[in-house]
Order: sequence, then structure tokens, then C-alpha cells
Amino acid sequence: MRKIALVTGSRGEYGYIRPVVCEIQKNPDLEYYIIATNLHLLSEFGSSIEEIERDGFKVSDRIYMALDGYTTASMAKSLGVFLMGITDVLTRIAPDFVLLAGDRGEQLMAAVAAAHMNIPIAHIQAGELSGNIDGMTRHAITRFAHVHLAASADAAQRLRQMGEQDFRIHLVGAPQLDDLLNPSYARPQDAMQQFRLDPGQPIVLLVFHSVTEEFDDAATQAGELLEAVSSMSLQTVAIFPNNDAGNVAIRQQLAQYRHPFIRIGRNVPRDVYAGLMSVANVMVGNSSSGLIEAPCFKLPAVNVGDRQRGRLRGKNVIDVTYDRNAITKAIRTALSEDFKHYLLQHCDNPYLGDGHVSHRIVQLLKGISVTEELMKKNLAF
Amino acid sequence: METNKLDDFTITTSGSIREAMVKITANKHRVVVVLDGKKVVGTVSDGDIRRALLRGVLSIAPVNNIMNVNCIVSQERDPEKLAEIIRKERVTVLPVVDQSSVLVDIFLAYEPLI
Repeated sequence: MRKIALVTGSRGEYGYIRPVVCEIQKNPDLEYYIIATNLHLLSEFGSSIEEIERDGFKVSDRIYMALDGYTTASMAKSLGVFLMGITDVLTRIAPDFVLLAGDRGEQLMAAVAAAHMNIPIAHIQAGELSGNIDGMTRHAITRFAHVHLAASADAAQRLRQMGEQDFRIHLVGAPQLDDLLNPSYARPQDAMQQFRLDPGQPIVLLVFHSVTEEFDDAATQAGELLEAVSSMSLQTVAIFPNNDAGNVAIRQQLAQYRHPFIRIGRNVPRDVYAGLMSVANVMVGNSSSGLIEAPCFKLPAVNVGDRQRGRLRGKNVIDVTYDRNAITKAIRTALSEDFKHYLLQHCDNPYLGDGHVSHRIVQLLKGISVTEELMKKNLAF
Repeated sequence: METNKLDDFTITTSGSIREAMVKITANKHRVVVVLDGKKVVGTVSDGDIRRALLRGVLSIAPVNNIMNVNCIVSQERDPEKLAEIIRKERVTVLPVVDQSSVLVDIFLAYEPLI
């Protein structure tokens, strides 16, 4: 029996690991341990742990970590709280593998703990570029991880250039796309009904998180974005940001720009979020889902600012700065018939997804031998 | 609605869950409307409070943390149409707002029993 521990702190990561956990369940010689933390445990952010339980999964541990205040300092200190918690949890579970995903601080702390405790680490979505503190975090996780699971050829190549040994790098794809391709998400009519959307009118999906390096500008940035969106009076579903430094200012702006045509979601479940993507006509903001998931729906994404700087993107992405006029213009382009036709012909997803990514990941975790070669990292290059 | 009654039907985002329970008890409509300044930003129902308490949220926590942000509001002014929305959406309290989401009135499904 091989025990696999997984860490999730937000809806985004849960989307990565959900299909993997489904796949682990099919294997009698594997056992999963879901460690839920950060946003999943906070009412204010929608208590999304309930979504994990609704999916029929057992949550092995809950690690409360978020210190209130949501400044850059409280973010760092919260990670310290998590590092202490995860160490005790890993001691108790004694997993054979820790499977991490993405680029968040919790994942890095789990990597630090597991690496020190000689537990092999596999890392989903390794090697990609992203702006923000997240980009640094992702590459730091790479240094601690023993197995790198890349979602694109570009990411695999970057891992090699970072000096990671070839045998550690596996181009498997993006597991979160499995649920979209197979497909397993809310029906369009249900997603629309939940937010009282009119299918006859364009639908805007707005997801905007703060950029930690631009913490002080969060209110101005959100203001420009919301000024643009509200001036167009289009029916919009705006999802609350995560709890990174600057989120309070963004949520205040959302309250300021509240209009009857703007619906708000505190934290929509993963399946409803995918359902919204399937009915939306344009995504606006800076979520990675505009780059990774949206191409599956041929959905245009107006990507604002630097949060996704450098990240691999397809033809559905229109990059703009924090300028209300530029944002309005980009939304108009995204909604135009011309752009729609263009995407129908040219919108391929640059991230690898064929509906079997989680299967490949689980086969890998099942078969991989934990040898001295795997555990002793050679960082010379 | 008369202005003096409006107080029992509204709470600010920083108001506590306990305060919401007091207002709901007084207004007898199982729901209180949450305001940020003059704007409607959510509602808190008996059910929202029950679910929060079961999750371990303390009654001193602000309603901001547990309110339904995807609440139903209307820009309609015609009482018959408002009554229709109330029936269709099965709500007890329907905030009436202007185009900037500023609260104009609160329409009720029924008059308080006592």
C-alpha cells in the first residue's frame, strides 16, 4: 500500500488534484490523504472544504493557517503557521509520496517539510512561468521536488534548463483539464440559473486577484477594471479574490461598484466555475484559468496586468494594462463576431490535456521506485 | 416600508451574527439585508446563520463573513411584479434597489404575524 498525501488550500488547487484523487480511488494499492488548509477552512472565502466532502472524499487533516490582516507580512507569517502544522501531520501520516500542485506558499511549505523528512515529492504544473510571488514559489518548489510533472513542452524544457535531471521530468499534461474534457461539470442551464443569467445576452466572468508586489495598487487596479466592466452594463459574474495581500481593497471596490447586473460569487464550487466558463462569452481579470482552462471552451480571456506575466498562453488571451479604456476596448474585441470566428479556427490549448492526465500521474506515482538516486538531488549544472 | 421598521431589516457588513439574529427575531421574516454604506451587498438568513454556527463560526463574527453575496434584488417598482418575483424566487424579503444597488425599499412576502 502506497500512501499519497495531497495539499490543497484553494479552489484552484482542488481543481488540479480532484481528478487525481478520483484516479487514486480506483487503485486498491494506493491510499490518499487530503490535507486541507487556508481558504478551504474560512467561512469568509466560502468554506470550500464542504465541496471536497460533497465530492465524497475524506479530508484527512485540516490545518488552519490564515492570520487575519491580509498584508504581505501576515501572508509570510501564515506560511510559518502552516509549516509547523504540516510537519506534525506528515509525521503522523508517514506518506510514501507527497503530491503538490501549482505555485502557492502552502505548497512550498509542504515541500520544505517533506524534503527535510525524506519523503519523496511530486509536483504538478512544475516549470511554468507566472508573475507575482507565485512564480518564485513555483520554482522554489522545483528545487525541493523529486519528480516534476510538466503540463507543457515549454515547462519541461524550462525544468531542464534549471538544471533538473532528465529522469525526474515527466511531460504528463494539466490534470485539471481532465474534468473539462471528460466532461464533469455543472450543466450550462444550472450555472446560469444560479446567477440568474440571461442566455440571450453576453456573459462576463470576472476573476481578479491581487498582485503581491503591487499590494499598494490593488484598489486602483481593481477600480480601473471595475470602472471598465460596469461602464459596459453587461451581465457579469464576479468571483471574490483569494486571501493574498490586497484582497480586502479589491473586495471593497467590488462593493463600491456593485450594480444589479453584477452578480457576486463568494467562492463558486469547481464544477459551477467550469459551468460558468462554458456559458461565458468573455473572461476578464488575471486568473490562470483564463490561460489554462478557458481554451477548452474557446473562451476569450482579457488578461489584465502582470499576475500571469511570462506564462504560456494561447490565442484566446488578450493582454492589457490597468487602463479602463484599454480594458473596455479588449472586452469589445473579445465579444466581436470576428474574434469568435478566429478562435473557432485557431484556438488550441497550449497546455497538454487529453482527458487522461490524472491517469498518467497516478500510474507514475504507483510505479516509481524510491531509490537513492531519486532522493539525492544533484543540483549541479 | 416605513423608515422606523427598516432598521430591523438591515444590518451593516461589520454587524455581528448575533446582531443579525436579534434583528431577524424582531422582523419575523427570517432574513436581514446587509448594507455597505447605502448599497445592498448581501442578505443573511436563519439558514446562513445555522450553517455558519454548525461550521464553528462564532456569533461575534461579522455577517460579512457568512452573508449570501449572490442575493436576489430587484429594480422593479410595481408591487404586483415584486410580488411575482417573491413567489417565483421563494424569498421572504426582497430588497428594491436603484441602478447603483442603493437600497430604495424592502418588499416583504407577508406581514408579520404578530
